[in-house]
Amino acid sequence: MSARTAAICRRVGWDALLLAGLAALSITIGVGLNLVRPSPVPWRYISPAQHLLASVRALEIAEHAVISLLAVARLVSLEDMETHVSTGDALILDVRPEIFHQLEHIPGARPFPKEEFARRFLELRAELEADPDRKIILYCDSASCYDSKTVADALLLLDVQSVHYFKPGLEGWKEAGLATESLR
Amino acid sequence: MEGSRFGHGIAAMNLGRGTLLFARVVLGLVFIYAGIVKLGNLPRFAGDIAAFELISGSAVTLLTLSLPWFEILVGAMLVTGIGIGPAALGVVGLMLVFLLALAQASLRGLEVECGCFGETPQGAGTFTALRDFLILAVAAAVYANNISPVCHRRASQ
Repeated sequence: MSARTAAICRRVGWDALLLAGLAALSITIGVGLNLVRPSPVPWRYISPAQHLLASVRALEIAEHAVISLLAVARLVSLEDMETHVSTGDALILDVRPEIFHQLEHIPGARPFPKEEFARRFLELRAELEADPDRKIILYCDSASCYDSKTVADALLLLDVQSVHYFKPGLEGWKEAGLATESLR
Repeated sequence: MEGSRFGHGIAAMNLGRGTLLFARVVLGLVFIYAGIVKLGNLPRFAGDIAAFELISGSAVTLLTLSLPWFEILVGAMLVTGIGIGPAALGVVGLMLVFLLALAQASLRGLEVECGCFGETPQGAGTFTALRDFLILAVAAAVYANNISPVCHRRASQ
């Protein structure tokens, strides 16, 4: 090894060491400030989907639920969504609060509010088990809302198969000039 | 003639150094901003980290609490010029880890948010990857320039 290469290696080594110190300092500041924060970040992170799963377990309907850690909710494109709406072959679930569903929803969609996840899942469970291969598509307000993904993840944790979500939501559906339904 | 060529060389060197100085300060400001934005909504940032499905539980919390401060410290070091080496190396490391995380998320079909600068409803995709490659390149150039005096010193000995 030439003197020049050795000098560079030594310099990079020192920088890496200082970097490790910087990381330790960041952890100290972050954790320290969290301890004195009025509403600290919980030490153990629990995802919104896991919160929903906990609500299902509270109703004692998922004691033997298989936790599918490897399952991933898939996205549905606008074109596929249009096809499913027209053929009615998929179970389309609106995860927004029911009042909004009553005002306007994607044709054929059924209410499945995130806030009532446990009760709605209980109601739907027999239907889901009867046809496990049927595609389930969830949607919420718009591309910036996370409820459809959260509910999709919770359903996957409960070993429900073929869970998809329509990321653009009702807003994206309407922006594409497609018709909606109302119950009022 | 010789003097003129020497003058051009000095001018080109100064221009290169000026560009790198500008890039370093901008990079530092970007990282300070990114850290502050994350501190503004830590629960949201925790969700963004967890969405990559690489770590869970307490590891998510630890990263959520420390990464914004790491970015602010690194950014401040780049702006002030104190400890440029470790700071630039930190940015290079961060970008490499993030790009790898992004690639695995893409391969697994995960829908993830960058979480870099707060809310980005469009999700992390090609634009995010290109931007991070650019940041990686700038940080690598800053780091290479920072260790080059070592090379010159050794070479002249």
